[in-house]
Amino acid sequence: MPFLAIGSSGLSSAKTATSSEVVDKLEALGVDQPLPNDYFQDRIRLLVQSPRRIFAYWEFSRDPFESLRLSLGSRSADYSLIVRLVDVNSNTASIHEAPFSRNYWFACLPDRTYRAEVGFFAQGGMFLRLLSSNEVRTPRGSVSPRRDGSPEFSTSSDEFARILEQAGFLADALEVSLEAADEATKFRSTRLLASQLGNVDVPDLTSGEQAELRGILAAMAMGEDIRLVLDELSDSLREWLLTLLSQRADLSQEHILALLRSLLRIETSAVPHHVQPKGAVHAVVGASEVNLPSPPIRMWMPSMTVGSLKL
Amino acid sequence: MPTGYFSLVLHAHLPFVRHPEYPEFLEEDWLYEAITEVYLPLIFILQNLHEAGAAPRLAMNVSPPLCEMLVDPLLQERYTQHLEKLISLAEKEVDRTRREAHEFAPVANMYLESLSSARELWEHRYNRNLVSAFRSLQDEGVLEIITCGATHGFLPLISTSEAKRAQIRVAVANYWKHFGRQPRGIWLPECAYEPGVESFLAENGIGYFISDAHGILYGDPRPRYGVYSAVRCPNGVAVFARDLETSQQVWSSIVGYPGHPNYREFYRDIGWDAPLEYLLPHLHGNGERRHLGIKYFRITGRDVPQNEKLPYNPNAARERAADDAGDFVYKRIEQARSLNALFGRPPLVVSPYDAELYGHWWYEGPQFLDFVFRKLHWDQDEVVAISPGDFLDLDIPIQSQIPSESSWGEDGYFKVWLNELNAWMYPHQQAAEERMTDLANRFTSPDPLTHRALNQAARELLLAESSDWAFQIFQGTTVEYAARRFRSHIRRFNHLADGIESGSIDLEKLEEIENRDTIFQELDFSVYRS
Repeated sequence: MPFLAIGSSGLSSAKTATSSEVVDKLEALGVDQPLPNDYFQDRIRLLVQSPRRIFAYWEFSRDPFESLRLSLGSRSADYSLIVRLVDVNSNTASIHEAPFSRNYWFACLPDRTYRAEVGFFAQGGMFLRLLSSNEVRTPRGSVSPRRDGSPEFSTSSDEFARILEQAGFLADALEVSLEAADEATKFRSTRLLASQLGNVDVPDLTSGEQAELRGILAAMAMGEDIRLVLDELSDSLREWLLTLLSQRADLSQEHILALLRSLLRIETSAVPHHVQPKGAVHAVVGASEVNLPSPPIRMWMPSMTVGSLKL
Repeated sequence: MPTGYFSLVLHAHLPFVRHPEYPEFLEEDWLYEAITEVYLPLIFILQNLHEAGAAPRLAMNVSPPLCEMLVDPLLQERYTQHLEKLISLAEKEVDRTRREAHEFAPVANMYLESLSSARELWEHRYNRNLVSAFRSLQDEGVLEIITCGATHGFLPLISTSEAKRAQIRVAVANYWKHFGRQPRGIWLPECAYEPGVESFLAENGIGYFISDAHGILYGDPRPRYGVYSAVRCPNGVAVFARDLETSQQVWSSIVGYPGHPNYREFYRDIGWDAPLEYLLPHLHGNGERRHLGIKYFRITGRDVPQNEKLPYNPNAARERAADDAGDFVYKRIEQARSLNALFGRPPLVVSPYDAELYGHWWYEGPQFLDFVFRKLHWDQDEVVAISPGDFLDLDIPIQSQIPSESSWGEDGYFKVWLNELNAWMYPHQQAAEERMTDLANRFTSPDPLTHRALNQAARELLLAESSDWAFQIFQGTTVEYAARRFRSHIRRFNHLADGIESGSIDLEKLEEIENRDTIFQELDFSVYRS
């Protein structure tokens, strides 16, 4: 069909092109120049991007180095400008050199409260705080550990795992299913699973660490790289996991799924490796990426109640 | 008692794009395409369903900027001209395909017919006012129209509570202007929620909002019914969360309905395929190729290259839409039965979608919806279509919960709107937000000229806050336009604020700014007071 040939421009979204030769009465407010670099205020703000990433930006009304030089003279050379991220509850902080760009992306933990500060820091520990930000709380990024106190809305771990599975939240469903299994067997299920992974003794764990361990197992079953979250783990769990990984470099998702099947009768359908279904097209405006939990597999979990589990 | 409830929620939003300073403007096409391909078909279909007694019932957000554009005389006139140009092209195509391309003739005729109907509806049935058409559908009990942020501002990234509050207050006032009543619910922009947002909603009489699935699933405490019932924040505002199964059935390019080979291929458009000279009278003055909405090919197959696609067959596509609608309804029944057995009570399945999906991205989308509502009404009685407000009226006991921070953007939090590409925007936005409240607090009884400037400054701030700009910059779609819009509104705001503070307002510039950024004529700057 000679008429309708493929167009040349690669079928992408519309380019922005405007009519030229227009007298623009607002030309003096030129929009093609960058916006002002400074507002000459003392300001610092902390913003959440995601459970593990937050962003700070700041500005000074006047050059802080100048003030420092005026008060400390030559000793000001001992100081460098740093940005500090404070974990409000544990009162711990990390320190980073403050870049000229006056902003910083921090890696952080979920479900914690943070504050950012900018100031001068000298070797030997002196910190002169100049700016202190708002506090933010990072999202938990996972299900709540609490069930509703009222009988009307209380839900057992077993039931909640089923709800998560119905909703397509499979990693969370698996984790809560393990929680249900642990409740039914006084934590024997997860310990058994973990001990079968390799020849490394599972240490004694607090209930918080037990929850972390379930999270690790669920993540591994979903094919995620556990090494990415090592820093978040408690010391004993991290040590256990590192020993295990060094001993079993071949530890795979399939292995975990096989264990889940044999020990707990949890079945999963074929697991495509991180298939990310994108939306039909990228919309020009408005429409956002759909958060389809990936991969789109189905999972069948038996009821994790006392008496149904044969461990 | 039904086995389950189903609530379709459509989100119709476009950023406020209006450029009177140019005779025509490319980005205004977003509105014109949406009117032709989405809003007119949806309104028409819903009215027919209603008149036929099919009792369609759904919620729909028609955002404030969209409402404002739909009632703007300049844009209405430009749309009329846009439609005329398209119809004249369709007429040429009917002629051409009859002469030299018979296999495309039915499709050419289809476009001429549907575009002519669109003109008839636009001019005579709706008198160019689609807001009043939406309003009628609400007044007749078909639509539950919900509001949105005033300019679709991303609330968790707005720096002051006054500015967050203003996004809601201005939206509600604008809703009263267009729809003559209080909005029952809100589509939070990007479904972006952080704990605390609900207090601004309650202050403004809003009873519910829509969130993504993990808003409730990750909420505290654990939701007894997952996303299959509403929950209530401690202050009473209800939350409805998205069901991902229905999302996937429609959105997913892998398993979703719109990917079927019989459906129309989006990317084979006459605007790219036809010789340029032929198209020139129908393009913008700059003669650049663009999508025109006349497309002749069907998807044919997922891996079929564009130059091997086969001609579109409207009847086959329509049949496919009917089949997919049947499948969708069947799956809703299955889903309702399985959830009802699990919970011991009827579940509510909430399915929010961008309205643009139905008609623009998925051409047969409106037909699909038509079939869905017909089948829901006439082919079964287990699943009932309701709105979120209807669910609240059922007085089913609702669990109290603090939802989780969330959005429906990629990865589920705020990454799309705050990342390395667009983080530069927020210091400027914050400075303007703080300065606006400062001005609003200081000027308690401004003289008329200052009052005008303050109101216009408020408009500029609202327009700068549109989350669309940060979104487009991240997505890489219309980066230049989005960045220019953001900068222009910050610049205009700063210019006006400087004039207000120094007591010397440039009247000529104020008038020019007012002539362009006309949104929210009813706005008063005092909404920014502490």
